Amino acid sequence: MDKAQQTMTAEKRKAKIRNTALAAAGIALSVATMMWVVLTDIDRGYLYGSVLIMLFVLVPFYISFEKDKPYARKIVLIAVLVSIAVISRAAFFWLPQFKPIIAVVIIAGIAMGPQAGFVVGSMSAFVSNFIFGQGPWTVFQMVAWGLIGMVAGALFFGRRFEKKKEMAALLIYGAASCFVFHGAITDLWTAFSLTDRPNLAAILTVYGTGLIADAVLAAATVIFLLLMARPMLKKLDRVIQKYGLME
Amino acid sequence: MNGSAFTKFHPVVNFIFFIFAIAMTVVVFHPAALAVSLVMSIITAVKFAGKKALKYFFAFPFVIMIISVILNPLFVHKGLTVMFYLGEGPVTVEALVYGACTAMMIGAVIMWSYCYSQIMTSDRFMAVFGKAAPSTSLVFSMILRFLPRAKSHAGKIAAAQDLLCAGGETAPENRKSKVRKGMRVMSVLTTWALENSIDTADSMRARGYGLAGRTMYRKYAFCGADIAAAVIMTAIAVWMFAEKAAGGWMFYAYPQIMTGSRAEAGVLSIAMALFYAVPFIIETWEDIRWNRSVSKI
Repeated sequence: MDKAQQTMTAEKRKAKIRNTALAAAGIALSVATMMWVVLTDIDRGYLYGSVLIMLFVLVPFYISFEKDKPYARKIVLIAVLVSIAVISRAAFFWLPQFKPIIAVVIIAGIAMGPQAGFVVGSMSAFVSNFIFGQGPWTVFQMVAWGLIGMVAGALFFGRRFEKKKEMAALLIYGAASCFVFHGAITDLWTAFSLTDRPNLAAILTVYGTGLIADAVLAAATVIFLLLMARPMLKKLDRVIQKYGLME
Repeated sequence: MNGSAFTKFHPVVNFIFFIFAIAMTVVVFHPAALAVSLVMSIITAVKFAGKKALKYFFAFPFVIMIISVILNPLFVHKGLTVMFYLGEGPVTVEALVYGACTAMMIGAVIMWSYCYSQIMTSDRFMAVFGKAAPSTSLVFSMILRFLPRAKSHAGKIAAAQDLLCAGGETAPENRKSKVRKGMRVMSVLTTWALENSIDTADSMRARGYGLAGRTMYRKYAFCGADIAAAVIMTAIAVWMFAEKAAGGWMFYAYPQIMTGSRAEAGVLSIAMALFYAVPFIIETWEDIRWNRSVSKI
């Protein structure tokens, strides 16, 4: 028994070192790309650079997910949460932009932690775009929603929002993430592909036109978090506890 | 769709085609190349998806293209050939041409993505990534299995809810009651899905999930034709990237429109069109062969 526990902790330590190394590599490559874009000023460098950076965010996350060798129950739970997120986006097709999907991603991150939150968020973007249309924005959207799930996990993992203060913090995060992550990152692609070099007026117009849509999404996220966060976390907790999922 | 000839190639070949198709469109960025890419992407989409591809094109990418043609000259005042002044800023021919180029790039990339989702079905996606990323592609395929199942179950839940809450009569629906009902259905569906997922996971464990030697539902063999197609496509793509680096695809919009020799761009465009035509040619070739064999019978 002791030996088994020892190998468990040794494996955990190894995984931690590996994940830290992956994160460091991703950040280093992203910074290098940024420097390259700013310093060389090649034609449409910002467009190439932004796509590269998105890949440098996505790939390390998925490598760490693969290397951790998640067991069957965790994989299935992630798949179910992504499916629920995708269904929730498709179910509200009659209300443009008013979707519960960001709320579902946030709840997934809170229940399962940052890494699973990132996987659920980015997978939700990838799969739901098979219904709503794939395109170059998919990569950006995957990163944006992945970060929403990851930061939710980092901030609120283990919290259950019984106090009003906690709930308020969650709602503020939900609304802010629609602008800071979803709006800013997803529209980067449009902003950089329209002109050869970033042009402040064009970027502001792109973000300006997106602002209303982002606001509707933020409102939807707040409402759905208010309605769903506690009951859904309760359901998830029950399943996670009953079957000992997150050990 | 399943019987089409291009999908008879190994999924890796299909995947290579789309990666290069999109990368070439973005990197080469020469008016001739962009026009070739856009036209071929539309033709290929129509070949694989029929008329609904055209509908999609005019409903969505086309609109974005028009916006980008208009936006660029309004915001970018570089370029020497002034058409007219709009307020303070000069509207130049160069900015308009550049806007048209980005428009073609955006349209082509979106249409190639559309073709991608027509051709790279989930089992083909799995065949490409199953070995390298087993967990991720398993999550992906489970989602695709789960979605139709959840949809049909959601229908049952909704029917039960109607019966329970309105005694079988469908209550007059407004937005608020619609949202509320949607929430209830989602809640029931979540409980069902979570409980169900554990069954699936346990059954997977019992059948040896995670052990070595996992096989695919469909076997794709990498044969001679696959190697030939992959080599030809890679060769053309590498050639195009090399030409871009060497200046064969030269194109500057600012300060004045400048391109390399027209003859060179023409030759390169033909080679590029050949690359983009690969799925279309394979598909049409198969159609011809089929029609011939039918007429003989």
